[in-house]
Amino acid sequence: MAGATVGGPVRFRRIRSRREPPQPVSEPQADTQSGAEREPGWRTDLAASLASMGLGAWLFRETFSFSVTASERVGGGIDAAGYPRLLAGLTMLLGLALAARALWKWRTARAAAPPAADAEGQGGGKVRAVLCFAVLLLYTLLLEPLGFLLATPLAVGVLLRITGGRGAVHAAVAAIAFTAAIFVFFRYGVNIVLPEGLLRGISP
Amino acid sequence: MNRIIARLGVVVCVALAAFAVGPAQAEFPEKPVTIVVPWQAGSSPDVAMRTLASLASDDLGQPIVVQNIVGGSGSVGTLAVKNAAADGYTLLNNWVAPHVVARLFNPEIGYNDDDFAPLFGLIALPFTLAVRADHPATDVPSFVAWANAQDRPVNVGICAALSVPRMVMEEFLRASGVENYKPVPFNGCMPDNVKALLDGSLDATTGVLIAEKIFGDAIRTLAVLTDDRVSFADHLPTAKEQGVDIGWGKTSQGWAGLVAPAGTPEAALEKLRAVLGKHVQTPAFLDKMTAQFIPIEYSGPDEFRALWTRSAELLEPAVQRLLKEKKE
Amino acid sequence: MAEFGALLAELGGLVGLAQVGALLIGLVLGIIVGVLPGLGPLLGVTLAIPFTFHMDPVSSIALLIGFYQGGSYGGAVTATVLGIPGTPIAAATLLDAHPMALAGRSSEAVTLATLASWVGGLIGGTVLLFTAPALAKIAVRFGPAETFALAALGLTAIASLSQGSTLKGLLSGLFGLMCATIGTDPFTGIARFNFDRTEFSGGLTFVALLVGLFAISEVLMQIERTLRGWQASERIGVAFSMFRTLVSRFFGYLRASMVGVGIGIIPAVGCVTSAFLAYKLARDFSKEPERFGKGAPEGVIASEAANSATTGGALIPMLALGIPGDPIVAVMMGGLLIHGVTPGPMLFFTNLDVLNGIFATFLIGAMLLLPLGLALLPLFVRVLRVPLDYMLAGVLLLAIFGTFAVQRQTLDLWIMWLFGVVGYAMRKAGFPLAPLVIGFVLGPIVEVNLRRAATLASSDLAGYFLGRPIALGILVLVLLALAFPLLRALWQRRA
Repeated sequence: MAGATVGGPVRFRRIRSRREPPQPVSEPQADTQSGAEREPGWRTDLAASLASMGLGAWLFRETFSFSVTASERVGGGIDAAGYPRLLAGLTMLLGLALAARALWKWRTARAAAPPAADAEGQGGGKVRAVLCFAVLLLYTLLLEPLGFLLATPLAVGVLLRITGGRGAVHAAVAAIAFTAAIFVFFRYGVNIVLPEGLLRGISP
Repeated sequence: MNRIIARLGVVVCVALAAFAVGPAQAEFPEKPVTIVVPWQAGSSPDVAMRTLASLASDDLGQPIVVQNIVGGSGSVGTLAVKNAAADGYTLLNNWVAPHVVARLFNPEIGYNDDDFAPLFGLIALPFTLAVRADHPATDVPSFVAWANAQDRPVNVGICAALSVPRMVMEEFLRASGVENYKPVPFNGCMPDNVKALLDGSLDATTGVLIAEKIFGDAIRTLAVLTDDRVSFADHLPTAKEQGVDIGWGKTSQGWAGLVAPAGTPEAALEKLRAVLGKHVQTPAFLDKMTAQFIPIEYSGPDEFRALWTRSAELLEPAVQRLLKEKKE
Repeated sequence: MAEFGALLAELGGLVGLAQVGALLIGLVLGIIVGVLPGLGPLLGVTLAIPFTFHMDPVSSIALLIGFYQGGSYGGAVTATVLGIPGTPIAAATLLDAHPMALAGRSSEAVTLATLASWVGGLIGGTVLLFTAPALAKIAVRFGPAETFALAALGLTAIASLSQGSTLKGLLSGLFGLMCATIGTDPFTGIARFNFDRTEFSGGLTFVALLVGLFAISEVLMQIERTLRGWQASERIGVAFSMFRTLVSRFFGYLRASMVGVGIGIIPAVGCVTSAFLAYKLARDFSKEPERFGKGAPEGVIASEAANSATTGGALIPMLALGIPGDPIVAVMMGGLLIHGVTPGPMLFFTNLDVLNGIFATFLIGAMLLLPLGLALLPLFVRVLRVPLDYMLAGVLLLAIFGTFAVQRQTLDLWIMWLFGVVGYAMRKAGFPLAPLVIGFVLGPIVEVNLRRAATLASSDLAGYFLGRPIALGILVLVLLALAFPLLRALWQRRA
């Protein structure tokens, strides 16, 4: 047996070209561990800093509407309102620091090279993502009124057509299969009744 | 043999009936029934409801599913059931904290007694006065004497800031004459609320019976804050027999039961009361509850509804006192 | 040793068929998630959390542990076959496993990776079993001040998890801390940021936030990228000859595993670091360091044994102290909290059965990894050929209905979509996502314990902390953890 290579118990179709070199990856994989992408340009940073400061300012103001319990006004301001106020304040501060860094980046970038666009130059991909997200939001709206069994095949079918460019028949069959699998799992696997909508009283 | 024939007969009759009546008038229930528990999975209420669900599902003819909708001291789950379809397929394990107390604190919470139809009352959790094992006090009088001899406020755990155990404990301290104390809130009665006795943060705390089981000799329960001793822990004396009467009756316990949204068809309510009400009084259920230190006190729908009103009356002044402190 | 055997037998008795079933499902699905490029154990654990609602606590944790162990291993298959790490964890494995595959030795590489994961997992599990209770015994005397200090120490992980920009990592963590303050204040019960709606008084649903942040944003990123499937190019089997390395390279396995456990115990360092560190050590100790990077089996052993052992190590601070060491463990801690099981020293009092279940399932899972990984190898390679659009549709449906089934509230779906967009925007703007989850999980612990300490201290909070040497000592560690990266940056600039 020494040195022998034994196939596993599951037989599977041989792939046509045995020595085909593995496909190189055109772009770095997203780092799912920390979720960070590559370093973006100064415009993105500036937008992020403005968003942080805006969010911080809004929450900072909100904290003044809390009715803090009298007995708690003892711990040097760390109370039901003071703690979130501290966080909001820090957010504004760090947002400011980020803005400063974005401006610094802008100066150095201008000195070094012509401004590069932040976008990844994948217009088609962006449109596809936005379209899919719109379908998902619409689906969430229609889930309760239409019911799971009507809304899901529609949504999955459309998604498959957008993401995989599948033909209508192929997408429809796959969508129905997906719907059936999820339905059986929830209804009979964990006894959860998914929204019935129009089919209330008729669906199993 | 006869039993098999009888069973076959039943099956045939049911099948015939189903064909004759048709789906429109099929008998309740024809799909899974959900019990919403407004507390975390794994908590005592959750364990009680899951036990009931597993025991009663066969008898009901459909699976009973427990769903935890947590948050806002139970008010999120309570509101969700009020807004659910009143068809008998969604039930609520209603607790005094969200059902009565949360509404007293915030009248705009979105529900009141009229939104729910009672099935029956089920649980009554007693609260206790507990100290660390090496504490000098051995009973209620010696604890009161010790507390009043301190030149600092006594730190007392109260489970949570706006909770029934807090109101019961404060009522007890008032009745027993302890004045200089500081209430320290936790995230519920277990475990940090009791563990803080061990690390020295608290002098005394509002305990629950299961703390006896978990912490054993490390803590000492001085009194159960109820009128009568608890059947499965009858070595523990009550506060009343040690001369401190809170006078709240059943309201001095954390009570709970089962309700459906108001407007649920009477036929469905009757079926649920019959099947579930039978199972909560079987030894199979009661033994499991005793093992988990969950005291069961069954009461019928009318009696249960009367408890809602009575508790609201008794707790109202305590709530107002806390609200006043909040506004100061 | 006999004592150890008795202990194992006792632990084994705690685990029933249901738990082992959940563990197996977790392992198999976890490996598949790990094999698929771009997805990892974090996404696997995230998607599994909603389903744990319908299980008992030990089965839930068994499922999550399966995903954790399987997912950490699965990436090695992809790294070997395709030359891209299925998960970042396998990045160091890639260095030598892929050259081995190119030389026609992919079966040997994958077998080695499986063996190394197995050894690493077992050693990690054993250390977990003995270290966690000892640590908890000390920590049970910790009061609010000490708990606050510990949680603050956990929060410093945010700074070190922020690859790229510390500033953005801190902002992400702050955002998580603020998200945790939505809803009823856990300390005094007053309403905060609830927009006058009872539905928000419970705060943001953890599952909705988590699934949106990681799964939905990941799917959106995938849809946006060029869509194409992956293709495995070689037939893979089991190379039994590699079992001999267990003896001949015994010290290589052991050294890497110990490095893995040690790194795992330190919060926020994680599998990737431990794998690279063990790899570097293996090369430093090697007589022929020049073979590394060109298909050296020692490299594969070091990387895989270390990252598997780290999973065991990382559970120690979470279970004993309530500090999640890495994002996956943070998610698992959230999963335990959902079941009313609060990680920390009290776990050793209140939920001993759950705790022993965790130990037992971890060890069983580590043992099962070897037969499972080898027997189902062809299946896992085949996963690399599932059409991408099917996979995305499947992940989306699981995300939607996993989240929906938890509370059957459509509001949770809207929260999920919102955080999907937030996660997508954060990825685009270079903000790391993990600090947000750590902030969200640790936020309430930090806040409530600080305020409880303040209440106990009356007006003299500083005096209260000065009177508690342990709390003070931990806070000094917090300061050191914060100052260290700054000092290092200064030092590097000088040099």
